[in-house]
Amino acid sequence: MESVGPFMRRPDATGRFGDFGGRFVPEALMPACLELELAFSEAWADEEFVGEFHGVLESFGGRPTPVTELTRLSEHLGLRIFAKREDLAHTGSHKINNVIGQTLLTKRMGKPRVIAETGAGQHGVATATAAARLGLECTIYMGEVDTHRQALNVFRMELLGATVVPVTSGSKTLKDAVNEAMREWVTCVSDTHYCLGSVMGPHPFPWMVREFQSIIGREATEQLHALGVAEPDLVVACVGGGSNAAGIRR
Amino acid sequence: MLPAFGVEAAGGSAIRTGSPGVLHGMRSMLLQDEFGQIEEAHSISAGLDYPGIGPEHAYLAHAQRAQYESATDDEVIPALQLLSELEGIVPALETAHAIAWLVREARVSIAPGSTVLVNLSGRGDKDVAQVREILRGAK
Amino acid sequence: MTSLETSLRSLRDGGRKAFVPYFMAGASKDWLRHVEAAAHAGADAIEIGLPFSDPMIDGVVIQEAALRSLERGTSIDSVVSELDDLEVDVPLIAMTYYNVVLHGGLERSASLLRGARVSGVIIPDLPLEEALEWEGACAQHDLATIFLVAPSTPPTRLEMIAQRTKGFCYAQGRMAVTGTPGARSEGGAIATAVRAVTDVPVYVGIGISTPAQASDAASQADGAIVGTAMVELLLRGASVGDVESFVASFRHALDHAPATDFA
Repeated sequence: MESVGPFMRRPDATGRFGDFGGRFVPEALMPACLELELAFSEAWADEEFVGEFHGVLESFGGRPTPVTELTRLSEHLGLRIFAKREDLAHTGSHKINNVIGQTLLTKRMGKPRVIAETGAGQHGVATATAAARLGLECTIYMGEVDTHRQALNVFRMELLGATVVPVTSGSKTLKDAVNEAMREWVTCVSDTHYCLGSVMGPHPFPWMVREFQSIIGREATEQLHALGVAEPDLVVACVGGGSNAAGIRR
Repeated sequence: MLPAFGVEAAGGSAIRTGSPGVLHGMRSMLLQDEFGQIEEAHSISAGLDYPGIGPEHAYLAHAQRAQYESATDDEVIPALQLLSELEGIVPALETAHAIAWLVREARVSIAPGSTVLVNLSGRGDKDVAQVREILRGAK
Repeated sequence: MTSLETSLRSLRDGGRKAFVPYFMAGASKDWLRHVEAAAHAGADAIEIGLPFSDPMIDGVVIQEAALRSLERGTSIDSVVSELDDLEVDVPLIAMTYYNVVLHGGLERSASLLRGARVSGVIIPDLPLEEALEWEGACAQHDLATIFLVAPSTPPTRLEMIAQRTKGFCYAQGRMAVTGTPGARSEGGAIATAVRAVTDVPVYVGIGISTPAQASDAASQADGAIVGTAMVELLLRGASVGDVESFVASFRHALDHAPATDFA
């Protein structure tokens, strides 16, 4: 089931992509990272798990999302532009793909709780949503500045049954929310999975999140073929941590 | 191999303005000062307010197997408006960075008539209030 | 054997339980005087925090101290130069995060630290698997690379860590970041497990804030490390005299701790 396409490759045994990646975490978290790597490797090679992942994405996550030809923008810019419509996935972004994968894996590992960081709230809302659907406890760490910028998303997460913890350290944004989620994970790693929201963090997260997001690129390739486009001339995506870019560009 | 473009926020562009370092469990490209203290990213979109980037992107950039560009806050709002008005899709502020880059580079570095696949990663409902504030302030 | 390990072993073999307080370098302008007061009052080694903007294993108190220190312009270079003025003869152990020494260059950082009489370094976000390069740089400068064992560490990893650590083995007493109040320390049990596979001294840290807890930990370990409680006192504006009495209270408890059961 691995998307070992020509472009995105599996990292080496230490979680390296060239010189980058690895696993720089406190010893307290090393066993959990090793356990997660093993659990994901096994699950991703297990047809039943992969089938369940796709099943939940279809019956609950709103997949497949369409490809729309942006005809008026194309005309305006003198290009032929196709959009992969992750905005139409459940909760309004591509974040749901990764989150469904990780929460199913959390259940498979026998853990009853997830924690996550969020910046704009998209990953937090997606995590709270999947946690509600799968019956997992959920706590979201969000920079205090972002809880103000995205106040409605805070309420949305709370409606979904999650606890939102405003993070007041450092710059009070996404970076600090990750710090705080990592700190929390140290205290509860035996029964809690840290559902990281992007292709970042210690191995196996960058690889695992990219694999869960690769559904975007797989669908888009087929959909473009059906529209008579063998291969686009270029692929464009925004990058924060980079999960939607990694997902579309397999 | 066809070109892939990742568009970062100009105020949080780890690839273009960062250097290699270790944060959050990974070795990647990071915004940091001369002593290795992590610097804050600044972006209109909370989702791109991050001083690092996934390690595989750092690798692809260094191996020159993908290109990383940036879009400024000032380019993002008009791009969001343009997509809304022309296509009936209000994108997330994060997603609008990809559109903004296309708008800037069309007829410049992108050959006319090129076929482009853009990942419309998220919808803009969550950002409507913030965009309204920004547009009001601009008047 | 590193000179740090030689001196910590001789301390242990002399029957003394080590007390190691932690200070955040540069958190206040008179931080060196606090370190001297601690050494004077009976600390056996001093752990010196080099601040990092994103301290992943530290709780709010040490985060606050790091922030104050960074706001005062502290860097590895400034600390090294300040340490010239430090008048203590106990070992100095640096504690920092990997990016700080990586960004400065591993070889250069190791050399700078050793030049400032630092003889061991703890880098909590550098597990065994990632540490080879840093260990190499430290080995060239007689700098001990101190690894942590956590309550979550399984027996096979514990054995690997116990064999790789130099100077001493840091037994993390609790599954928590520094300065979290609460449950009983697992440090003693870890110390016993480490001692079963190696002869390196074992100190317990994380979760020790009172002399009684230190004495309890030292009944199975060779020493106790106190970070947050020390730093909190200083953040509240403690004087040199306050530091001395704080350290003396731990000294007293450790000197009257029950003997280690080597059975």
